[in-house]
Amino acid sequence: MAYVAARGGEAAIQQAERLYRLLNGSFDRAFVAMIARHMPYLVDRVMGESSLYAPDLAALALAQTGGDLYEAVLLLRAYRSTQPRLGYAAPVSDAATLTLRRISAAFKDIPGGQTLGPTLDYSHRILDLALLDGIAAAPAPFELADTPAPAQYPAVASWQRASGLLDPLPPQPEIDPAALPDVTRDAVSFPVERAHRLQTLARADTGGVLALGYSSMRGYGLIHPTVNEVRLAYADVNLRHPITGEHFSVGRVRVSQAEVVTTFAGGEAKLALGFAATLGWNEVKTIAASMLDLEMDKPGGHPAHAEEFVLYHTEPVEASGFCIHYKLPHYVTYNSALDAIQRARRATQSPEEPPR
Amino acid sequence: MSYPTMPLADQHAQRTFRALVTALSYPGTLVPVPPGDYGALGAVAQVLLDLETSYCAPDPELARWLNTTGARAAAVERAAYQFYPQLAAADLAELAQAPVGSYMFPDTGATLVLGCTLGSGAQLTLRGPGIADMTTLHVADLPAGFWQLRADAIRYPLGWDVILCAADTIVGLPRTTQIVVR
Repeated sequence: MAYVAARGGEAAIQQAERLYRLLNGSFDRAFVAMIARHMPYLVDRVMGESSLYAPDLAALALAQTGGDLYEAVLLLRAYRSTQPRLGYAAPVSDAATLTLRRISAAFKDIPGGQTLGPTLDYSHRILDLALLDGIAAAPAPFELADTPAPAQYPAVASWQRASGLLDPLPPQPEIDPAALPDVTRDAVSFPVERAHRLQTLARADTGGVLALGYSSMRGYGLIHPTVNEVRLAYADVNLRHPITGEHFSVGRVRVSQAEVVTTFAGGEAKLALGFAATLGWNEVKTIAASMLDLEMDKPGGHPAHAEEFVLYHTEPVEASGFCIHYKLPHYVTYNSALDAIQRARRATQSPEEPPR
Repeated sequence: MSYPTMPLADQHAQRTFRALVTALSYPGTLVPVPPGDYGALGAVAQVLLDLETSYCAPDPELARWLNTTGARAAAVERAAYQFYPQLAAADLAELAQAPVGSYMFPDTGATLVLGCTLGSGAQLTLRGPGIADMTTLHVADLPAGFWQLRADAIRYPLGWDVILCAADTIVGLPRTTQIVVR
């Protein structure tokens, strides 16, 4: 650990922070509320990576850090670690969520039908430059359908399980939520428990998961999966009443999940399923993570898709923290490197040639 | 500039937490804690117990009170925190089963919170981290066999951490403290 304690510089540090605030401008409560209202996908990404569903606090973290995502996630995780746990929510099934968007790339007529929901997937990606000229385009009004889409949809995988294409789910014993492994509290050891794997992916760095997932998709992986289902929904947070024992909803959170299937199921003629879910709506992350989930079960393959590699290197706070710690004084490391260079040079110089 | 004020219970909890940090950092030092139900033992329980941990207390009335913290009641061989306002010689056989942690997770060793009288009784000579050379402590109202049981349970890094509680004072005896009883 070749660090030295840096002393002094307190005034410089103080002014450095003031300069940072000066250049980034001040902000107020209304600005934070505006981020929360108009940057939902950014806020969702920060909340997902922080494992804390708190849109106002995520918006505040974004404002306070000038939009530096890793700093915002660090702030929110640090805040989370100071909060006591007030309760354990009951597990929620995907079929019970209030689903706004549920599509499948596997086949068109999935049970419940394809529901596009809110998306820009099929729109042109063109900058609205007129807006900068002060010409605000009035968006075409949203038209309500004659018959509303259903609020809930069965999982595509349920149909495949019923058809014998997928292995049936193992028997589900009654779950005590307090007894579930919790990656925000437990030390992770490899091979990880399934709960730890899915929780780690849920709070993983979106960019990191995409990079490793994409390397698998491009051909470094062993599988070529199909997106079975992508779902954006609101999930009830159900708590158990301490006296009556009844479950009741204390609110809803935005959740997204993805399932991918591949035919590579241990050489058997059936499908295998990869799964990922996260707080907030983040389709890229859940699709990439569900592919990694499937890839991580396969023996062999590329090291970048091994469970330990994926889970350790997509942890946003540890990864960004390790990266930026290199900015701390490493004078001893550097000096020892210089010593080694000088010793090597002296050893290779001939005696009659004077050192330069 | 105005600061939010904490409710009295939170202020007491914060002071008790600080007292625990001091007590475990300087084993053998008498550290005062704010008053409350069940005296110092109750104050310590209020701070250490929450929804995410477990307790064991053979006294049913105390157990009911501890249950209000939200912590789970657990058997002696699993509970993270164990409370004995009056440890009797007859309790020692059961206490011997309290967890000492594992080499992977020595932090899962139990914390024993024991009622006693400080300032009189057996003289303990303490050595170890947090103690300059050595210090002494007088403890009464603990069964004679307890200190041997503690010594047998400790195979560092495995072992128990002990918090002794008198009326309004605590003493920390982490598993690193070596004790000679006279």
